[in-house]
Amino acid sequence: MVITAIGFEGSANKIGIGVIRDGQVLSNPRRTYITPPGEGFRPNLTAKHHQSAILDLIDLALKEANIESLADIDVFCFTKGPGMGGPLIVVATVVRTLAQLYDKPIVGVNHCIGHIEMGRLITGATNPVVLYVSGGNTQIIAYSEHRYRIFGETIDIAVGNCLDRFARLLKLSNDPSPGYNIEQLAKKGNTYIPLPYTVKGMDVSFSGILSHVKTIIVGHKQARTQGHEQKKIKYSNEDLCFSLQETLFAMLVEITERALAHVGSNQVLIVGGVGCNVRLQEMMGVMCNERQATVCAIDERYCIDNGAMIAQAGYEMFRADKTRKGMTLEETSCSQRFRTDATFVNWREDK
Amino acid sequence: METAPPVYSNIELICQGAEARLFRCLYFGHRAILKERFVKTYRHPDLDQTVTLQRLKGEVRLLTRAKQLGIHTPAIYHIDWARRAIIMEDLHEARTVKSVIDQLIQEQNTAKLENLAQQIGTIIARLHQAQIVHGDLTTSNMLLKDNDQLYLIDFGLSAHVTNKAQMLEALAVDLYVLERAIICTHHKAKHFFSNILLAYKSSISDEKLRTLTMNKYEEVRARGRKRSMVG
Repeated sequence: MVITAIGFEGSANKIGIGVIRDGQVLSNPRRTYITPPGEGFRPNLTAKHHQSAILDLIDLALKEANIESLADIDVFCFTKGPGMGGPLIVVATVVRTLAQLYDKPIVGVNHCIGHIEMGRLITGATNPVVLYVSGGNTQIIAYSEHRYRIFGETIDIAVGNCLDRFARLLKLSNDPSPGYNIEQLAKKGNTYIPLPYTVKGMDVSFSGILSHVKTIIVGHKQARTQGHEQKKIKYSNEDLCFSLQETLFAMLVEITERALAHVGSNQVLIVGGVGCNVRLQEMMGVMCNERQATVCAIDERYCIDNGAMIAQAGYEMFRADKTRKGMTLEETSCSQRFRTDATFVNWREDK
Repeated sequence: METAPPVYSNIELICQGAEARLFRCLYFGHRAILKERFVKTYRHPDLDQTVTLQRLKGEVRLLTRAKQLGIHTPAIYHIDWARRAIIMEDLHEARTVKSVIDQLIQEQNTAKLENLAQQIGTIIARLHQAQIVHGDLTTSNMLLKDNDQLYLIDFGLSAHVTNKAQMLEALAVDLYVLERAIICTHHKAKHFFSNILLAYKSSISDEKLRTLTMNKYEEVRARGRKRSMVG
């Protein structure tokens, strides 16, 4: 039986809707809520943005997929969590309404699992160690006994959050994304400024880096306004970006290597918004080369939050659900905190 | 005149982990283990150097501290900064506790198994009371000599935790990691871990610390190694 799934994603500042038919992406449009330099995205404003964009985006997704009506969709999938409460609820409300109007089953998807399943679909990786790096999450995940198990993660802020807030400190543009602009500046940097490096087993910590950068920048500002000689380290924005990336990514590659050795895998899959950073992919490649392992990376279309990934994970869940009923309305609630290992992975048969 | 023996000879690779390569060699003609933290080419050279030397120092420090507590650990012969390596005692005559357990199970030697569990529990308690977590307690990281001396090895992930709240969490996770390791590798060794835990508890002299650690351990067990991040 051919299954056509539509996926709705809106857990952070992107709203995306994707249509997937048996592993084939038919459409995957997305809108990003971009804030002025120096500002982050607030939940309520982000929710408003999603509210105003979602209906047009549904039309666009259907048009691009050459599907006439939502009646031709078999299952509605949406992000159940984790993410920001407001935006999650906006999307869930729309999905519940539509699914009831067209009398279709609903499947609520764990956002992280959406990333993993999309990565597996696009790269064909069978059983990789997954590095999931985004604005809200930093986890090192491997599959075992029907769960995506978290082997390591951040003990404070996510790597993308660290990048975003760093960009705000430097007043870098948020268009198209702070991480992208840091990456471009970093290419021109070459002096390495030492930053805190915190790896604890398979866990990492980033908040110390951010505070450290703050003292470097603010220290300089104070020195300048008070007319003092710059006492502290000399730095340029380019060098700071370069050093930040080198430090953050080295930590990520290290825990990935540890996980690889631990589970005895030889495939690494990088997913999440930070995953489209070419420098991260490059460093991961160097590590993997030494271990006779391979890196599977994906480009921004599928790395960054999108609707198709939710459709893909929802499709897998729906296919494994022999009743074909999807979730009850009560089960379609949202959760800001929803662990990757909370979902029972009944669609994979391997151990 | 007699020529001096080479510093290292007969170097042969035993295994490569994520962090280091382990070699067996002759150090000035004596059997030794060389643990070399090889260069990570993905990392910026300055960063790699700083991080590696920091960890090398940390490992040496904790190995020594454990030894001061009367726990058997391999003796450190030398630290080769240039090679970023620790040269230490080769406990070649010792066997991993992992293989010992397998053998004892086969022989159905319950008395000796209980004895071993007791020994392990006591040693971990001693380490923990000094606020040291091993960080990677598995039966492969414990060696048993013929004279039944139990050695702890690989302090690469160890830490001296001074903050009280963090310490309880760290101790509990340390125990939990060992429990998982034993369940995975020795599922036939019934009661082995509970015997370790019994010995551990009776070896912690501070009653308050014992209760707090055990409560924390139950909490960690209930949620798994990772914080649940719910709520």
